[in-house]
Amino acid sequence: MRKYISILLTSFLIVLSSCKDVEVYYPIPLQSQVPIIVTATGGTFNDSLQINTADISDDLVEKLYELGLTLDDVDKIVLEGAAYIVVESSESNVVMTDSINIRYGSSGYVNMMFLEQIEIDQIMNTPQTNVLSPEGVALFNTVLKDIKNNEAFPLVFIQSKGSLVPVSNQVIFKVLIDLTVTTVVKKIQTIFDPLG
Amino acid sequence: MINGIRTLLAVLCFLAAAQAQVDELISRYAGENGDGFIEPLITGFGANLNSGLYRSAKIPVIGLHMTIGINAMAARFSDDQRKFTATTTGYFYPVQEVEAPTVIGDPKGASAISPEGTEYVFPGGYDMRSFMIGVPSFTIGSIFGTEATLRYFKARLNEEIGELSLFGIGARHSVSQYFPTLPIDIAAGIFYHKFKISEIVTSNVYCLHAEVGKSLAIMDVYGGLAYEANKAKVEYTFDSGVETADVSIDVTGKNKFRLTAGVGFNFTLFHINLDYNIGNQNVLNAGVSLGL
Repeated sequence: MRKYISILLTSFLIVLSSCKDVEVYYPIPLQSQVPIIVTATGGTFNDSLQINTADISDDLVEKLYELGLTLDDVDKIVLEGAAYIVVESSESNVVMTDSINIRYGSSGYVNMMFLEQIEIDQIMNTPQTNVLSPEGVALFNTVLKDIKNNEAFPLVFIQSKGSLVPVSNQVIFKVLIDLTVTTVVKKIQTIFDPLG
Repeated sequence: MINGIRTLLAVLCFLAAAQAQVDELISRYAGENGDGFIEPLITGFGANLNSGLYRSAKIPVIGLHMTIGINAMAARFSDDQRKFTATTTGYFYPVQEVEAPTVIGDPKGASAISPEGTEYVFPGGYDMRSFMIGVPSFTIGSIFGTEATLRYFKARLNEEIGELSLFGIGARHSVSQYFPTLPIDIAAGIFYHKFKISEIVTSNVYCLHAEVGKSLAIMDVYGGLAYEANKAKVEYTFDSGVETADVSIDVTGKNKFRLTAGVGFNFTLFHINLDYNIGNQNVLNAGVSLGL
């Protein structure tokens, strides 16, 4: 009997000694939407809005909390992609040029998205993903980095500035800026790897 | 000793379940890459289940014999199972193909970076070189050289994973009984497993096997050939933050054929055996059983 028990105990020890801790990095992609109501008068428009970085941070912390994580578990936060979507327009047979700009901290407005001479009718409800600029992405990633480090400026300003052809008295359209922001977290997992 | 067996069984089965906690990682994938990411685990799991189906080729023609036992199986992963070609999805532009880690691969993950500076991050794996599970079994025979084996386990692990269940049933038949002058034993059998983790993973595993062996005093030497197949369905809800989508991924294990070579020792009521299985997925199996 002692022989059998010792065999089992040895097996048990082998099992326990084969566990190892692995720090696994994985992304949590989150989409958010920024709606902008654009009013073009006399063929031009310049509309802006502001976003509280505290709201972005609160949403992030809440999502992490749901997953049993905190900001300390975050390795980095990056912009994965973005889309420009026109969802409503009082006039669709117009050609639009639109520049989506952002302003943060001491920066002036920096172009983030640019659409040049596109007929609204052709892109209605269709996400435009190839419109980002490197400068805008870099500034947006700075915002995300500051949020991660808890040192973000309170506000981010977003501006839609452009023109419509043909010129008419007033055209109102709604744009959604869809942003996919990825939070990369690191989590220690205990893995059983007997032959590792 | 019974307590010792219970402890060992519980630990092995729990560890198997802990390794299956991949829902956080796979949630990165809305379907297009999910099968490539999780495939090595499905293949390893199926190959493990199809191990330890016998510990000898000898089956008595008649007479009651029963054994209860546990098998510990460890699938050894190769380097080429650690990565796969993944494709970016969603709003990331332009679409890129990247060598990303599978669920057993590099824990650091991988990234695709666009000319504009956006970054698409693929999850890291668990950096596993092997995947081990423990399976309890009960075997009863013999009627005309035929025995049946049942494998069963069910447990509620925690709120996150939910319930884990394994059911397996199979039969083996002595072929050598029809050739009484043969100096070796020959047997053939069939086995089916169904494995579930909550409502997330459902796996069906099949095996047809034939084995030869020779009993030498307390020692059994055996070898076999098997055809096997396993399919799994992984279902979960992908949550992008704005919308949710039900995702269903069908994964087919790559293990098809295997060769087995092993040795067993019989001490009256106590039996131990060890075998190695060579196929698309190599597996080391060790078994301990009690019974006649």
